Amino acid sequence: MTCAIHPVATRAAFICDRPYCARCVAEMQAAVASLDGHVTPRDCFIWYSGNRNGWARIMGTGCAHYVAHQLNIGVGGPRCLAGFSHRVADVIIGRQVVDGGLAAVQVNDIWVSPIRNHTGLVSQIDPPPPQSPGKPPNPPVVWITHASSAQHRLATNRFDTYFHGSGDFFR
Amino acid sequence: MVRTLGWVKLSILLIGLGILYTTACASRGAKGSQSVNEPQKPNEVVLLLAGAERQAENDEQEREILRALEDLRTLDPATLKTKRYADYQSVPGKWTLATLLQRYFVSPELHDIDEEAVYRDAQSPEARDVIGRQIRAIREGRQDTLAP
Repeated sequence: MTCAIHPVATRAAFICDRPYCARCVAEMQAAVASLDGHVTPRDCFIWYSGNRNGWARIMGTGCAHYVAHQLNIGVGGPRCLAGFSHRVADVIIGRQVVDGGLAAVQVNDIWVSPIRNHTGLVSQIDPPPPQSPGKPPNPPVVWITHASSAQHRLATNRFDTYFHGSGDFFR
Repeated sequence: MVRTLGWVKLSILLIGLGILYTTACASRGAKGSQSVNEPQKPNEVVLLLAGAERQAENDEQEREILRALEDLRTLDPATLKTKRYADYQSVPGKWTLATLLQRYFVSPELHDIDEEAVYRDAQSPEARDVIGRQIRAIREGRQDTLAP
């Protein structure tokens, strides 16, 4: 079997269900090695950019790419090597904003920043802290897991503190 | 007499061909190195930023993107090549302008950035219009993902 990119070269490995030659595999490994620490998953956040530069990293922070993989979203514009979306606008296509405040939010809802420039996934919901006398009841504590370029890792942060309690949830 | 007329006609034909060749060469020279039949390359900045989604996690990153776009809209290619910007963790001087654009913007189609072309093509009015739209989007706290 021949390489999916270079038809005259023989297959050295199957990656994302397609055959690639030794040259492609080496370039793919180099492109993956150049990715920032927060990009998750890593092996597929690359693409073949043509003869000039070969395999290269995909544009953007990779925040939407993480959410797309977790929820199997492969719609809209450009996709990663494994076929998943990596634009924030694409991961919320066909989904509705969750109404009813934080009490209505569930694990695996998609959180999106107000500017629609960052996204993550609701990974944990803790019960509300005890109510103080004379104060309204506290909302539950929502934790969001996201490919955090600023923290250089896949991070889990509180919605009310790290994200300042802003943004929308989609389901 | 007949033979003389034949030479005259041949001479006129050769002179005419010479004029045509000279005119064609001059016309080609005026267009620079680009061949007459070669299609014009699309503007690299327009390809990169028109309809692109901006991805950033915090205000520091947004401010650095804004600074880079302001430079791209106003500085000449030689100066743009020397500029450096903070990376994702706000460490200053880590990225070139082209690297910053590649790390924060997602074009409507997968795109391979030609760094030299970005700096050169940024000087055109259509590129500056697209850059201006992205700058306005940052200042107004929104995306500018409308395709050109």
